[in-house]
Amino acid sequence: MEHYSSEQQKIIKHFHNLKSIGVDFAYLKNLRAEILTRVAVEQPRHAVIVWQTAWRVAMRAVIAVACLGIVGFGVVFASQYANPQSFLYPIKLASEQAQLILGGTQDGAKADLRAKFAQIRLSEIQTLDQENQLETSSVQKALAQYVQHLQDAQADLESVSSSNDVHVLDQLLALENRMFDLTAQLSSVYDIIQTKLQDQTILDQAASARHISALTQQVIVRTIIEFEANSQVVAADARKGDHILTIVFLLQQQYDSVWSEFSDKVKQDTRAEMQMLSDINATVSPEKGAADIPSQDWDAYVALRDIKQSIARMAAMKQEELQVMSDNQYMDVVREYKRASGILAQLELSLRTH
Amino acid sequence: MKHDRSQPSSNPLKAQEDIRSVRGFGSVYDAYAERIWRHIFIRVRLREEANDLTSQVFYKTWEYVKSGRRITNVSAFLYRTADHAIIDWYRVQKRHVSLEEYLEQSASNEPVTHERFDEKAFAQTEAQRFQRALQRMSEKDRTLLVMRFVDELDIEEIARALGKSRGAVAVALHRALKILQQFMR
Repeated sequence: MEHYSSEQQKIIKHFHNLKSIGVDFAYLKNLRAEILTRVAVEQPRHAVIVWQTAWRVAMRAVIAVACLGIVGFGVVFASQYANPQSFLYPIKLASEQAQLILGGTQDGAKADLRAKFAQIRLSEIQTLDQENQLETSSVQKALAQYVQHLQDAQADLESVSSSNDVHVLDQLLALENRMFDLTAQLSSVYDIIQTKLQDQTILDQAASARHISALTQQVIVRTIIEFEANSQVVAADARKGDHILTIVFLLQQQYDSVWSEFSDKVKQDTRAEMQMLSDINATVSPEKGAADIPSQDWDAYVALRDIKQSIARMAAMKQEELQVMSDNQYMDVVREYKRASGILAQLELSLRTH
Repeated sequence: MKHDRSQPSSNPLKAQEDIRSVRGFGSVYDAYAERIWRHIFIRVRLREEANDLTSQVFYKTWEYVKSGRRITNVSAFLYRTADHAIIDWYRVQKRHVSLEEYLEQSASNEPVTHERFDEKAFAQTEAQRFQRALQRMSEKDRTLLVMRFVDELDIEEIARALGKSRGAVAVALHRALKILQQFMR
């Protein structure tokens, strides 16, 4: 136990006053969005803890059995139309959990089911508004569940791209379309909250829900691209233009991260390597004149320079070009993404291990 | 001992959360971003730099987690990463101006701008003496005091963050407080 003299206590009080320093909230809010976008894109696959999954499945099974056994099928059916203020509403939520267990066996199907339930939460807010029953706690709960469903959907998608089932692609494209509808619906809900509730906390919650929607869209597109690259199948109705814009975004993020590690490493090495850094920044191709550049650094430099040029080429594609792109041209870009992404992952690993 | 509710535990993750997930990393960010920002700001005294260094801390933490390594004490890890980032930042400053000169400059009576330290808290004479005395302290002692009395980390957490023993931290803290007391006289 620490004992302080009265003089020391005065000093400690001065320290406590420092806690009132105004934090740059706007910056921290933006930083949060940036970092979580990166986490969503880069989070390791299969990171779900086994016992956690088992526990969830068991709990859901219990809920499902309780739902079906105690309340009965008829009540469950009737509950589908319940709004958040209805006494049947908890049954509606429990039956959704049961559907997730029973109906979501195919790859991608569970994610789609979750997106569907997220959509139902938004519809509930809209119904409450139409019936003049809009109130803070119901909206907060619905938005929280909306976010939860989408985050769970992102986790569900993690295992999809390694699937061999070609029908999965249709499922993913359907999910992508649903997310477009969902985003539009969320904009309408945001307007309702802004005009009717005028509560900053809920508005922030809705803004966060928008952010999660955007992240989910990115994860879906990444999954589609990886599936296409793995299976060499491209769907006729793929949104090729949007996908390529996402490819550029994802690759740029991955490149920036590897580039930052590479330049940090090289900065500690020779002057010749510093020259190499300034050259790659100017996007020129210097000859390997300096004998003192270690070969692995030179190889990494050449690979990074090529990927940078590759990203620049993709980013330079015009909207009109994207709209008339053939399947073959599209697959070339997808393969290029896969190749560059793989090289960046290898470089990242070797930079960390050396 | 009274429990401070504003103080996040050393592991803000809920039982089911994985720090490698969006939700898990989000929880860590929500629990610590403001505290880390404030900790850095008090030490570098520039808003832009505090923003930049806070961003470095969380990106480095993500890189660490992403590579598959485990963090046993999130709080200690974040403060340690912040500490390294601040030290690196001081090194860069040193190329242009010595640390002492820099701190002297910061403590001088230059006009207050929106980017500078919030001087309101130091409007009174005693508070100004405190600020000057704090700037006269060594970086190590200042770090210890800020961790203990602003960030409100306990001795164990400080020891983990700085890689020292519990006893060494307790002694150093006691000594640092005495030095500050002398500087304020």
